[in-house]
Amino acid sequence: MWTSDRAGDVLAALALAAAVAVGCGAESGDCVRYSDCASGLTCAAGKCVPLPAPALPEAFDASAAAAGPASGASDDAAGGSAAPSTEDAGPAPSGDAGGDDASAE
Amino acid sequence: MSRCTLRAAAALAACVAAATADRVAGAQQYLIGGSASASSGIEGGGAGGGLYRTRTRVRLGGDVRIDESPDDIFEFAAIAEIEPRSGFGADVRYARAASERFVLDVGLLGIVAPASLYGACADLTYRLPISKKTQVTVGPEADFFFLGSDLPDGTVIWQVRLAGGLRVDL
Repeated sequence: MWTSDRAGDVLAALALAAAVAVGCGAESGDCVRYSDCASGLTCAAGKCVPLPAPALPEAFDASAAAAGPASGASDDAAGGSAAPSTEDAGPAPSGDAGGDDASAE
Repeated sequence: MSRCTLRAAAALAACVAAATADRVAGAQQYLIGGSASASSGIEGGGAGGGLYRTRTRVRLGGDVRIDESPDDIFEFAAIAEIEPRSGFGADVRYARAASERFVLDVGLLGIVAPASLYGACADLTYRLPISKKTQVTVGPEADFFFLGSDLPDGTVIWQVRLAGGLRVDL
């Protein structure tokens, strides 16, 4: 016969089992939902991993950086420090901005 | 004479029936309750295959039933996930009182912010009276999430929770 005392015992056992399970919490970096991961990470195969970086803009940046010093070589004598800094400042924000945008999403 | 008597009897019967029906309808009352509970437990179903601790959830809700059918209960609630990450949503449930102290329910629930997650739930609640109108509630709950933008492709998240709280007859 089912009694309230027995019900209490069953619920106590359930509470103990849940407490044990809760005590064995997830390691950081584990996930089952996208929102389990911090900003800039995504849930893949149960782990939080960095979002894939956009490869195409990186390639353009590298080529621009390689071309920069060659084109600005003639200016080195007059304003060597100004020309390279302009070249560097141009590509860098686009690359960084892309990374931040991807992180935010 | 007899035809007139028959008509009068029929009219009287109709009046009695109408009056009785009105009285039954008038006696019908909505019984309302309010509840607050917190729950946590374990979850799984992700591609990693492991068991993890669920987010702790707070549920504030109400229930409505009709005095003529007090065992059939409609429940609704706002839910908030509070740690380790937050989320907000709601649920609606149909509950059936299995006995004076045990209530079974099934329903639909959804997390709508910051990302969506929708699924179904079922739970068993034990109500321990602590006063005439107040009960301590405790019991297991099972949730299954199968839709939403927060769900990785091909994943069904399941959760087994233990909930505890208070319920008050309003």
